Amino acid sequence: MGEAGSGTLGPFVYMSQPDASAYIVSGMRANSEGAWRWAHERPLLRFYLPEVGRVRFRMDFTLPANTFQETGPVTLTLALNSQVFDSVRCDKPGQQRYDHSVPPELVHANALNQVAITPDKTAGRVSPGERLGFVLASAGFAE
Amino acid sequence: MEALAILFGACLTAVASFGLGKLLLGTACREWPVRFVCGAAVLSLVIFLFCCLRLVYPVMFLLVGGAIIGAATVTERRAAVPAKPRSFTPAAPAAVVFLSVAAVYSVIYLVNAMAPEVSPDGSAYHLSFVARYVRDHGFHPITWNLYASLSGGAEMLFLFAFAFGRHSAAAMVHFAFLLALGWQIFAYGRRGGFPLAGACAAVLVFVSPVVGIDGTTAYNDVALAAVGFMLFYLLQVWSEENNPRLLPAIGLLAGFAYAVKYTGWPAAIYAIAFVVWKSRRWRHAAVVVGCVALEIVPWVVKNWLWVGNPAAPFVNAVFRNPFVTVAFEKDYTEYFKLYDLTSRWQIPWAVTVSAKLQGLLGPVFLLAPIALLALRWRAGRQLLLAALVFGVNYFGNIGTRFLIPPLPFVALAMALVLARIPGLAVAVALLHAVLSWPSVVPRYALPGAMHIIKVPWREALRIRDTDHFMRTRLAEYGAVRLLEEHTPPAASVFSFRPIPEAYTSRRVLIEYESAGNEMLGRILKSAFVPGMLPTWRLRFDFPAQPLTGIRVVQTAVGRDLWSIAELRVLREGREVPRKPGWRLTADPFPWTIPDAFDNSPLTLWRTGETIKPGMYVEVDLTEVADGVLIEAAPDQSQIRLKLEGRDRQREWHTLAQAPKIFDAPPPLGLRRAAARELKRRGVSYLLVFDDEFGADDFRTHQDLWGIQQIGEAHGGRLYQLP
Repeated sequence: MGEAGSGTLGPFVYMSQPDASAYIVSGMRANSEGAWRWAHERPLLRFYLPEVGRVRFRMDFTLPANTFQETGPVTLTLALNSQVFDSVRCDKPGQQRYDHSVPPELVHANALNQVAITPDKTAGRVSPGERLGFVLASAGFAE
Repeated sequence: MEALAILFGACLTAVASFGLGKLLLGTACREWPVRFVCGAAVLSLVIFLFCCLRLVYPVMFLLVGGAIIGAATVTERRAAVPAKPRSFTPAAPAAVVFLSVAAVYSVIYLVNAMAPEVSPDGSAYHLSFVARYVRDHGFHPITWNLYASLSGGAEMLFLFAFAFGRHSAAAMVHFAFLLALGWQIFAYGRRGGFPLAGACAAVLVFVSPVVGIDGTTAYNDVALAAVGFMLFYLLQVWSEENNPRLLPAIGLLAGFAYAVKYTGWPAAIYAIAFVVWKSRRWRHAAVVVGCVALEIVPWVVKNWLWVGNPAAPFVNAVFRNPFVTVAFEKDYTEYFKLYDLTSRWQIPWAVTVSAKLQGLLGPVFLLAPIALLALRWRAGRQLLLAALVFGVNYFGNIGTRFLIPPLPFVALAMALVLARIPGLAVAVALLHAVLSWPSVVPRYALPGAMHIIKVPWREALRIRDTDHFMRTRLAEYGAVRLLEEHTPPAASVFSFRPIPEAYTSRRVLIEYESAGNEMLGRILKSAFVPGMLPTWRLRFDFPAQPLTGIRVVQTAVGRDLWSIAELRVLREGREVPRKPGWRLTADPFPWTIPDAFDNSPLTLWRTGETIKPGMYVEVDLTEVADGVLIEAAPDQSQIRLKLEGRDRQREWHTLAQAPKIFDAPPPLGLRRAAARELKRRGVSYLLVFDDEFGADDFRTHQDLWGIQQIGEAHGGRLYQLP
């Protein structure tokens, strides 16, 4: 079993965790705002996966109404270790949960795994100077 | 052959009991039911001794049985005192009422007793221990099943019969108690000069549906009723005749009531008080007390030695032990105080007509309040006092079966009143016989009411294969067959629900039947039930300092149980490595505290009782630290913790008044780790029924659990652990 302990990465992260930044490779705001964190155009996360059987990728995220007004429906494309394994279209704003199985052949056991969650549209009017995709609360692998 | 073996086992037990009764009572009491039950008390003790010495072999029982019967025969011939002529004439109306009804019902009962044993409790535990003692040739500590700690006086007799005729022979022994009880109620009426009342009361008791089903299976309530009534009878005889020869039998019966069933404990007080009150001679009382102790002490000592609690599985708050938790006992006993009723006012209807409390006495017992009119007569007062004594425990478990011990006294008191109009008494008795008829009961009782359903004579005589009968009459029998067919004889199997263990030699660990089994279930649930996942974090931070001890103290009162999956001591954000010299203690339930220091998020220390201030977990160490992290499941929102530390001067100080609480993600691989942990604890198989919580998870995620389904029957799936 793997768990994000002191200084190590685990298979799952809450943005409220003190060490959440360690899971972020790029494409997200530098700091969490309480229990969530803004994702930009190409958020890239990393997780350590132990030797496991089949796993699912799970994330809790939000498309805020004010950015949705600008973007309209958003499609998120998910890639594991640079291989796209799913895309999901979000037709409504608000809180959402994504929970989908991951092709086992894409998983690197006992190693770091990078997950890209790429929105097809981002909003620029809400926060001038940055493109906002969605709000992430948690993400990672689960059984 | 099987039918003959059943009859042989039962008859040998009954005749040996009768023989011992003869030897015990001599000519002081010649009535066969009294001799049988008194002798059974002695035989039960003898078998207990054999179990302790691990001498449980059929040949030993044959020798003992033969010796007892031989000795009783020789003694009887030597005594050769002619029996008192009986005033009773077979043609008396009272006898006609009793004998004609009893004869018909006796045939039904005999067939049912001989048929394969399919009672829930008989097949789940009464006979499972009997079968185990026969296989193992005696006692051995059974700490994984709380029922093994119940007194087993009747089971000792079942064991004697089981050694020859297996399950049905044991049920036949119980049936012998039923016959003895019925006859002795009748005989008591004759002796007291109210034969019609005695006959009607005997019918009221003998044909009562709950008495019929209980007395023809391997339960023990009818045995307790018989013991109680014989005790009452002997006390009446002793008070009239003042024959000191009766005193040992009185003491043995009073103690045997406890040995048969814990709820029989008032019999001892009743007998001692009665003898002291009537005789005022301490020597008489000492004889009774000594004989009471002879029957009770072995069971008390057995429990004290093996589970650390003389009253196991109860009174765990006083006699703390690792086998049954206080919280479980509280929930368990609370349930039986009301079952699924919403008010105690529903009890009269439930126990007499609807059978909502697992069985029914019969609708005529709605007339039971008229028994109070019997207070006008001395006999009535004696009977109602005995009813009070044997019914005093009833509200601890309101199941209908628990009314069987006081039933003979209530029935006799009712009949004394009814017999003032003889035709009315006979009419009520006959009406009761009709209303108790197996095909009539379903017309007014709830479906599934516990009563005799049919007369399976082919199965009783074993001229028809019994497998179909077993599968249709005994829930989960198919699961037992699964175990027999797919697991090796020494296998340990975990199940969330009871199964008829009397039909398997496998060690079956039922979740609720011990604290250890509860923990096995908890480990499994911690792997997939959201509220039980080890995702809760409670972190205490304090200025770095040298410590010689830390103590996490509970400060709240609530209904939650406090648990800790892991406790880590921190310094500068990193865990201080645990050392073998650390001494771990906890109060309450200190036995599992190492599970909070084993780096497994699934194994845990748990209080085993609801939270209250002062509970603590303590670690003796010598370290510099600045934090403590507790990993736990979030199903304990009521807990409030503070952290104390002991400095080098060995003074305790509060280090933090409260922890910071946050969530951590659930680790991957919990299911497989849980399965491995069960395997590490000696469990090789899981038995899960489709209607149980979590059954889908085991079935659809076998790969994640690392388990493999190896059999399925009647909604039960058997999985092999990795």
